[in-house]
Amino acid sequence: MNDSELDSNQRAAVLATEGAVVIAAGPGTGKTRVFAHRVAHLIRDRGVKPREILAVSFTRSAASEMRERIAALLPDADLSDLWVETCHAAALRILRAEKHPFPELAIAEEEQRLELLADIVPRGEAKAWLEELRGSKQRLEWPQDEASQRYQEALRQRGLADFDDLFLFVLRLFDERPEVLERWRGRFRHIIMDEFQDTSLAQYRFISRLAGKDFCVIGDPDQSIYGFANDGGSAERFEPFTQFAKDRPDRRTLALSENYRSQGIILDAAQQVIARNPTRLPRQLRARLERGMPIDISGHQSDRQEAEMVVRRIESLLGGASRFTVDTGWARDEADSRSYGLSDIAILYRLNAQARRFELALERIGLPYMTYGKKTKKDGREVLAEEDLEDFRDNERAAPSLVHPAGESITLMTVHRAKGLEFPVVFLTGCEDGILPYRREGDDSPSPEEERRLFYVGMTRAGSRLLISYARKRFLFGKTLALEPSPFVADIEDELRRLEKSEALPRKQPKNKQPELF
Amino acid sequence: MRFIADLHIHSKYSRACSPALEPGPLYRWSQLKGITVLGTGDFTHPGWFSMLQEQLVPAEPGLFQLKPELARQQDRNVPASCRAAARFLLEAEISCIYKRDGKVRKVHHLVFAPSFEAAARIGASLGKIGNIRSDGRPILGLDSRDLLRIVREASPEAYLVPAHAWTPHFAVFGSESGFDSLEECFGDLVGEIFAVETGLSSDPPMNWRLSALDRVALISNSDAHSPEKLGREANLFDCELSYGAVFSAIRGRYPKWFLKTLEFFPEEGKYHVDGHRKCEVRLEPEETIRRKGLCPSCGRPVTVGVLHRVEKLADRKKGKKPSGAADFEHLIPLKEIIGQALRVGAGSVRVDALYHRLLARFSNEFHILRELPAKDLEKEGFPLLALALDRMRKGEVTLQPGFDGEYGVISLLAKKDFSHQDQLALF
Repeated sequence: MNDSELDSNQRAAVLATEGAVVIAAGPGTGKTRVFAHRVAHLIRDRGVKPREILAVSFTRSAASEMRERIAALLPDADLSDLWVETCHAAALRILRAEKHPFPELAIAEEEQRLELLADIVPRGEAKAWLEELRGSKQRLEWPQDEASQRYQEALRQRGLADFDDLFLFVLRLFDERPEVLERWRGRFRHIIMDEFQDTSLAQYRFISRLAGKDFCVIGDPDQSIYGFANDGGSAERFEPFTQFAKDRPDRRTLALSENYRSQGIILDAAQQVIARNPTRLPRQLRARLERGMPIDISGHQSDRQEAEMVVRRIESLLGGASRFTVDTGWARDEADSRSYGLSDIAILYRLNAQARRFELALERIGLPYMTYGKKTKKDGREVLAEEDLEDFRDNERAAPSLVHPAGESITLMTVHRAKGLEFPVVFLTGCEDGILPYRREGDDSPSPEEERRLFYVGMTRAGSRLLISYARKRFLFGKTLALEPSPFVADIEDELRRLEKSEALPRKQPKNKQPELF
Repeated sequence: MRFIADLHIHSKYSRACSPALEPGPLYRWSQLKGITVLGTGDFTHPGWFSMLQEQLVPAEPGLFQLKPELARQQDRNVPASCRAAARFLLEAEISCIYKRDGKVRKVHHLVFAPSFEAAARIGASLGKIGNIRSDGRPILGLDSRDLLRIVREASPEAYLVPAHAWTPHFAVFGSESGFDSLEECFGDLVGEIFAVETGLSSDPPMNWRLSALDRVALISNSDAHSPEKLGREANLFDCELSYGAVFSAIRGRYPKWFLKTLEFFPEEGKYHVDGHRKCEVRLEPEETIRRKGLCPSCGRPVTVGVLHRVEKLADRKKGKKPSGAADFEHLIPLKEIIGQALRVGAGSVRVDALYHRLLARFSNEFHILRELPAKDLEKEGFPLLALALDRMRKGEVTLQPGFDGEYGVISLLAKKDFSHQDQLALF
């Protein structure tokens, strides 16, 4: 399907421009296409001016890609007044336009924040203290304690704001000066918001205040994987779709249910996994692609062996990366007889700490790869929420790739970071109980339902080949863990999978040895 | 002066290559083989680059030689009959794996540099793009055209030549992941391509069947993975001994400077005809076409060899030699010939002993293969060897072509050649 074509569900979603609309869009159903066409339709067919539209994307890279797609659909339109922004960027633009709370508002960098805190909070506690502060800001509460007030004052004196202050500022501005809110609300007659399932309370409050009659949200509750980041530590989890239903009882819900990304078997397996989430409303996606290859599921003795086998498999998917692999028959024949390129392949994992093994194995062969995200060497207990959050903020801030290499490479990233991306070949690795789903001692483990959604997000990144692996032993955060396969893996029915024994490195067998035993 | 150059080898830092591939042994083997100018291989590898810098010193412009004290050590193991000047020329091979027009392309290219400075610039540019530390022949996700641009920007005298242009898996015209033309591969920069390396499985007459290649020179090199394989293909020049002169000769395709290439019988190459090694199926191109490209044993597509691929892209019949094209000569490695005469494997100890004896008695391997009168061998007591050599020179050989990674077999001697007396005469 080329970009100008729409299926009937997509067309209905594009044309439903009046009132409050929920577009429930499963993975690979053409959400971005619908979003872009909706904006184009408003401008081209409904006489809406570009300046009257606010299009909200989840990441900066998504926003810039969206802008390009809209521009491609409207080659002759002047789109300089069209806002295609992340929530944070939209808030910042409004604040800057209103010169509130000060004329040249800038966002404080991590180092600046720590520097300001030097006199306020003992050094070792600064990060934890900031996390707490962030939580309260996420709940839209201005912190009242003395240290926080001193910190906010220090920011103010330098014309700085925390990333999380933006929504507090803008909502305060709307409260204090209703005419300002009216002006902006009068301007943005059409608001469209993407990745709605991962909207935080603060973001939602901000956008819904701006929204008038025509307000469209697009998203997939099954792909909500940032609940922990958005609840601000409050006991009750903010559920954007539920809140939207309460606020806009007049809403219409349209579903996109034709999946154009994944082959049938992959999509079926993903749905078998997600269907087990107890609070999920039943819904079904239909694959538009062929059934495809069964899902490879392989168990390994150790994380090291898992990495070696993944890399060997990559070599055969590439159709042999070197003469050595081709001539020695090391590269096995892949049943789909298709060769994939480096950039078609992603290795996904739950924790950034899992990347190193893959990097070492790829280095040995000399295959180009790019690891996205930070590496952390701390105790796993503190690291997890922090690094998921890091992925979350990077997603908010910029493209997942901060550096663009000139060459193609294999992608290494966490499942969190892979949100919104797709690859013909996905290795979903470290699928062990305790890793994915991740569990910590004590009761601060991530929600099992959210972990299941994360697994689902990982699976649905794959177009043609999904290869799931787990290890019995894993060295992580200074400890060797004995692990069982993830319960999610067992939810994939046998007909859709091909179980693979972990292969030992090929050894020369005496040729005349007959398999008489069998 | 007349000299032989082998411009594509590897170092010990390349995957699956011999640990003996260090400057000293390369210097020694150049002399045993009769090679005057040898590519260094792998100059993009930081470890190899510094080893070259430590052990080589400048010689003629753009060429390098082993430091005298190191050369003296090596010369102890070079018979006087073979002692000669041996030079190095900075060379590397890059494996580009990338997608173009929705297809995966895997293409190997040779890169040449006139100085350590230029080589360092190329290394630095490539190091920013990918990993050049793991493998002497680095794999980069880089478009061939972009690699060409990087090379040409590093120095006006730095050049790129597509390597073993016809091998199925890793070549510019490869059947599995290549292109149908140089234009398709290099786009607007195609004018910078002035030569292609023909590879072991193709020889010049096969390449002459593509008029599109009339404008480029055809060069031949060993792509050696161990010192003993040096010079199994090479180029014969008659020009000044310098980097500039070698590339002028190639670029200008001056028949007086670039005399000829020294070639394998292409049937001996690993990818001459089609087939499936695992299924032990060898197919001539016509047979493959009749079977619609599928293996009669396993039913999957066979690896399409060089002969077939040439046939597919060719636009004229056999027999025409384009003007300006260098001549060529088919050779067989001396150890293989000895092995056939002794009726033992070319890698055996006996072959090795006789090989070195012949070198010490006569001269380097190329001299024996190309110039030594066969009757001198006979006089020396090697009538079967003399017979085999004579047949090689006349092209009187029996061929079992290579396919899907399996070397072909070239037979020079038949059963009837081995009489009792001849056997005795060998010892």
